[in-house]
Amino acid sequence: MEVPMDVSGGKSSCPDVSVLMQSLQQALALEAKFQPKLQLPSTASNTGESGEITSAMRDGAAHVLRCLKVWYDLPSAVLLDALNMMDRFMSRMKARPKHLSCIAISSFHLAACQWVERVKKNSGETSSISGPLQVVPEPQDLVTISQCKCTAGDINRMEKIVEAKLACLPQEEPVTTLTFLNLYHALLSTTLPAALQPDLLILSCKLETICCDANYAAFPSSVLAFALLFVEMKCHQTAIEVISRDVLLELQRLAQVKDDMLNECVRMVSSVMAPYDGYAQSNPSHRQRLTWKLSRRTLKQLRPTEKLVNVLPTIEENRQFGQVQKRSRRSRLTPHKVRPVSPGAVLSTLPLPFPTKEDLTSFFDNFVAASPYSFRFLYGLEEESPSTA
Amino acid sequence: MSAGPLVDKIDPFKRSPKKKPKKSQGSSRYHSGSEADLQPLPLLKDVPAGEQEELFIRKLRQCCLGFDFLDPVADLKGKEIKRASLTELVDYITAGRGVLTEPVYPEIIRTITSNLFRTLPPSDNPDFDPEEDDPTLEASWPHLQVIYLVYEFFLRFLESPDFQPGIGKKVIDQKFVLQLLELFDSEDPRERDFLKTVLHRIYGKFLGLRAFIRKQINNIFLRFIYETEHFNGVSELLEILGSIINGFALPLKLEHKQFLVKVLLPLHKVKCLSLYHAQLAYCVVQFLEKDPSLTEEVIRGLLKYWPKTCSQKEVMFLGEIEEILDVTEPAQFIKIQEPLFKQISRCVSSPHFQVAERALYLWNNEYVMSLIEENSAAIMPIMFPALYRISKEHWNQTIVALVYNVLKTFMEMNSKLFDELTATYKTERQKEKKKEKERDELWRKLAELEISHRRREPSAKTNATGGVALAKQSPPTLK
Repeated sequence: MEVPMDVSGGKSSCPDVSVLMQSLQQALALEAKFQPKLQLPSTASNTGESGEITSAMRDGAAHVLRCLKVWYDLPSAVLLDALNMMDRFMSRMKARPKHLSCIAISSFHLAACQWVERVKKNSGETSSISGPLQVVPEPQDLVTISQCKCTAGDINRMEKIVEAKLACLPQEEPVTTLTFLNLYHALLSTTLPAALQPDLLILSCKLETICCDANYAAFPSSVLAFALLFVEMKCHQTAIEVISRDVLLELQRLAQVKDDMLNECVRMVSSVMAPYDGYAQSNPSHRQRLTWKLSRRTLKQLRPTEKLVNVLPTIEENRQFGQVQKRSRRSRLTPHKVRPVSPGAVLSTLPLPFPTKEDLTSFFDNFVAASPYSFRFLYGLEEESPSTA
Repeated sequence: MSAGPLVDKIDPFKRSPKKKPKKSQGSSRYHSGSEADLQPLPLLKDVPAGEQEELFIRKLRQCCLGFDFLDPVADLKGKEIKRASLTELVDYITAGRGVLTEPVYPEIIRTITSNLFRTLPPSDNPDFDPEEDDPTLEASWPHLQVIYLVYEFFLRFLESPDFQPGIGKKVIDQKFVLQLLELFDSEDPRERDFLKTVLHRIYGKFLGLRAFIRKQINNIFLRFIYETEHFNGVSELLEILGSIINGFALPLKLEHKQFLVKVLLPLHKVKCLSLYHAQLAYCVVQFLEKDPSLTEEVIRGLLKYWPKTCSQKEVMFLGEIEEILDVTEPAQFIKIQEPLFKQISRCVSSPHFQVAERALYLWNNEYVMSLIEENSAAIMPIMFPALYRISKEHWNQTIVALVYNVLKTFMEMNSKLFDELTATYKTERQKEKKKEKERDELWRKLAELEISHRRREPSAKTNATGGVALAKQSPPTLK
């Protein structure tokens, strides 16, 4: 589905600098209101229901939301609004790990609804609607796809709680790092030639990655956006042009970003972006423990050699077969490579080597994550049986 | 008939005045007459050791006599004697030591030959579907009892600690083995099971016969693949081959590698693959465990024979691919990853939910995942478009959920590549849609042009302008 370019509150890349300046001032004024103050412990002091949500858990949930954003073809704004709401909520409320997935999904749904409302309102102002109308994903669909073990009703209820707690006004667009990023980019494009302008889409992707790391909340949104811009432009211009350097300095002054805070932020941004830019794998603690549901028909015939029970004893080439040999079970005879389950793996795996159908059915029926990374919040305590096709 | 004897001699259709004896339809040939031949003999344990060999041979000769089992009342006494004899002989061979003297060998073989070797009757049910129907068993149970006893006896003979291949090879020769192999086409699964064990032991003990046996099995398979597509004993023969492959010495002989490529791989394309797929997959995997350098050839072969219309076979192939990947080394994986994953992405897009499900489930295999992770830069771009498209279009919700799992896994594997692919896919889709729109617009204009042209000059040819306009249009791209 086509999605129009990120539209944040109707501020298009119109070259009217004064309008942009005004928007920037407004955003800076509202910044504190929308700043999350996450104070999550980095390690779980006590796991289980009475435990706390750690930053690793929060990051994991953020990555799930990121995947959902791609899945439903929504723009970065929805994701960042959702993260903003989720983080602000958790700044004020001490939530339990088992509720984290519900909070995350409800924030996502809420953000999507609000965004669609804004788009409708904006396109209502102009006469024509370009492209297909964006549809908000249904809560039930979200719940099923994201594999969080709560119901659509839970989502609806949680949404109301979040809205109430954050005192969200429907027309009010949250001021997030993306807001500032868009503004900075627009301002840059008024002065810099196109060749020197960084790509907004790429920047948005990087910003998403940064905001999936809980440490981002330590910095004000305006500083963070600027730091990202700074790092990106510095990386992509081997000899930073005099023009862009001056422009950046000017922008820094307008955004009221202090040098020491900027340096610290740049350090954080660089450390988060380094693995991303290196095409590295994500942190194992952020990985979602996925359930793989199969139809019974497919479960019955996963591997052809499952059906082999007894295997004839080996006949060595160039040697005569022994006198008395009993037929033995396969596992003793064939040196089948058994791969050990690595301790860091959080992906759901089958018991090796060849489970029977009963094994598999009970495995799926009783799936409870017992991982040390405490991802039980994503799976609650309900049991689901594999669906029949 | 009224003409002279000269005409009679040259008339081929003249029936012999003698009535031909009725040929038995069952597999047992009956012995005409002499119940006197089958007198009950004393038990072997009752005679002194010196006389045992002679009695043994006499009993064996007795058991050579066949009976008509189609007729349940005929020769009841004889049948019972034979059955009891065989049971006794089985025990005698198992327990006794030094009972296998040289003169006994040919007698045993004669008993086997007369009881087992026969032309298999034509199938009562020509439309026999091996998967659905139960196999038809010959004649009646008493007859089968005897047959199975003979097999049991033969097996004990071969497995006896006293058995000497040096003597045995004089009587178990190529002709014997050939007849044994023909019996594998029997519809009786228990008989085939016995035959499998018997041939396994023969192969094991007679090194001189091994090449011959392998060659004959090849012939059977090749005839099966390319001519008849019918042979009941394929799975049993493959099971024997599995144990042979397991024992191959390294480095593998060229003959064995050729067998893999020219016989085992083409066995995949036969319609009734499900009957023997387990054993076939086992053989293939054993080969790869012996010599990993064969991986590329095996996978390319499977891709060549990939089923195009039979979805059940596709599911089987995918299961086999997973088993093969389980034993694939990373260096080999790199050679085949591209063509393999192109096929997998086609399977994932299949509207048949089982095929898509099985293909997606590959991502739940930890070792396969580690291989994919190491090569994510090559594999993700191949898989991504199909996955992204299905996430929106597939009718089956189980599939959609699995696609989410795979996409999430990809995102965790390599976020940057994932983002790049998403962006690329979107821009390409936008380009495609734009092209489609332009093309539609062009056709619309052409239609209008034609109508207006026709209105102005109804008699003139209308193709002129249209032809020129068509030439300008870019050829439609295949989706």
